[in-house]
Amino acid sequence: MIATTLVVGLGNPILGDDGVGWRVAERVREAIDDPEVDVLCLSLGGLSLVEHLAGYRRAIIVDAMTTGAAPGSLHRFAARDLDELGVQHTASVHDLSLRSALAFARELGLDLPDDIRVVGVETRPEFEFGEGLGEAVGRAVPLAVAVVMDALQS
Amino acid sequence: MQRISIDPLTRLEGHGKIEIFLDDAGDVANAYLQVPELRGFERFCVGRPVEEMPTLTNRICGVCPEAHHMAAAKAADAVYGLTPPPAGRKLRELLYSAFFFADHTTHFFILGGPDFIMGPDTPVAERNILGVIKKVGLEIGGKVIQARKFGHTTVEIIGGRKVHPCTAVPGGMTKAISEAERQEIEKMGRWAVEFGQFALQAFHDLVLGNKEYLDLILGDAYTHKTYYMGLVDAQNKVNFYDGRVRIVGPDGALHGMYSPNEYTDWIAERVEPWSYLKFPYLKKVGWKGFVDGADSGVYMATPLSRLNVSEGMATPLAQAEYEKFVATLGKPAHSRLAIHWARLIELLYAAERWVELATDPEITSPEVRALPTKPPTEGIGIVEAPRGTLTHHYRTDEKGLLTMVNLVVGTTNNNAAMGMSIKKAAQSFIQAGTVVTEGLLNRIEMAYRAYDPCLGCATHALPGKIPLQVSIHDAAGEVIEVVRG
Repeated sequence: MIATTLVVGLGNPILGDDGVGWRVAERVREAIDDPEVDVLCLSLGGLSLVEHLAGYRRAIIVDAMTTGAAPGSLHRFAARDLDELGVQHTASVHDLSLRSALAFARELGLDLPDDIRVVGVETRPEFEFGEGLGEAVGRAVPLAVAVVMDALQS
Repeated sequence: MQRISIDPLTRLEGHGKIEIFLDDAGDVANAYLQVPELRGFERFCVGRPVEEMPTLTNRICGVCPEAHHMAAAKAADAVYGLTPPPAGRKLRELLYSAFFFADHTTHFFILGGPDFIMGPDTPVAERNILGVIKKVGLEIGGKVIQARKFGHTTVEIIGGRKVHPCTAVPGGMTKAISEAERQEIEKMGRWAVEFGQFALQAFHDLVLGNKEYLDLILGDAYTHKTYYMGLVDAQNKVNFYDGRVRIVGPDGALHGMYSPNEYTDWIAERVEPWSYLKFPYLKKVGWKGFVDGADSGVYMATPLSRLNVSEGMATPLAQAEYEKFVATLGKPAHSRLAIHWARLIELLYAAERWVELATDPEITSPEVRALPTKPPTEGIGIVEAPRGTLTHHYRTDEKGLLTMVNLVVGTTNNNAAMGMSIKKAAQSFIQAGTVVTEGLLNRIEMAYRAYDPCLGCATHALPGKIPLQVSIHDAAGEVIEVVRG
């Protein structure tokens, strides 16, 4: 593996605004030409997500997020600041929370990035099947792309 | 009336919520499971080509995409009247066995198992896989990671992608496997069989060997006498990929068997005003409400159901475990916590089947797909998802564009049964004057968690919220107390 940085878009690409992480990651993929950076679109959380991060030095996760702020608002924070539930997909399911999964994987000696950042795009908590994004969330995509690009340069 | 909410359910998909209503005396009057509404999937599919369904439906949900991929491929086979050639069929089942193995591993060691390994009253911060490796040793964690990796790698080799496979198409598979790939898959399968034995040994030592847990499993709080459903092969052995659906009653007597195209004769769906999720029931028995017994059409479709409806397992090691299971619990087994044991027996079966198929002389044949010759019409595909029988039903126009889509998914089958289990556990553990603790609420969640429910698509939990919140409401609906776990 040449790449040292991974950008992950999380979400469900056929569930309306829930797919915003994918849309952002796809734009980032088009915008960069850097063998040091891999871009993935995933519908996973917890341990399944952490298994994809192994081997990279740095990771940026883009996901939908619901805090009650206005749809389309952006949130930025480090993964270590996540609470037990995390953002929309990091806290999957049928899986551990991202925080527990990271702790578990580190305990087992998995080679994980030291620097994991999360970019959240605020959505409403209800979703409807469809491939497009709602207006407010759609408008936030270029901003979220810029935030990711900035982070890649830092 | 007081109300207690468990919201959201820890460690489970979706924004599920348990609402417990207390009467004026402080006893449990009722308990409901509420799930999020996911609107419009069927409408989203109408007008699309049916051959897109195997890759489209596996996006419904981040938990069992492989199950939707298979059910969709089988329904699409039926739409075109196609039978995949033997190697195509076997590759699908091989992929599916590896998927089942990884999924059941995750459930036992990460979701359901910690309640037993750590104890149901252990604080939530330790009642997880981290607590498990601290208590049992780091080695168990490494094995779990390895088991998941081998399952996912086998899915990727056959399915073209990890997690969201894309090679099952109407009539079979898009690609064969090479001899080198076969050897790699066989090697991983042989490791999986050893892991399956290890998992069952751990269950015997840590759970069945502990009298407190055994009493919990055998106790009345987690027991319901309902109908059971599951797919069986021609010898009435458990099968995840193909066969007929067999149903037995609470006394174990055969209620009936149906082929996929007969499902509407057997299953009806009830709508309740307080839930977005329908309640399927046995049509020939009828809906009598959320009650046990031979007169109530409520059924369960889980690993335990599959063991209850079958005449055993098709592989030797799993069969030996099945015999121990029946000797301990009788048949049918009604304890919902026994679902965990049944799941591990299925995990071992999946691993053994993985090796059987990987060493099948036909598995590397290049003949993996039959091509359509007839116009498309209508088709139904049924597989067992890890969490229950999964039915996909499609109708198309003469060009193969979908005009109707209906899905009865694994967890939906169990909607009524899960609600009953939650209510019974709540009534068993909360009486007038009970101090509601986190451990107590966890025992109620355990009733639900045993089913390994998946509440829809890949939408998950909200941030900034604590994993477990209990709001107690007085008769006027005002919050009088909030308990946070």
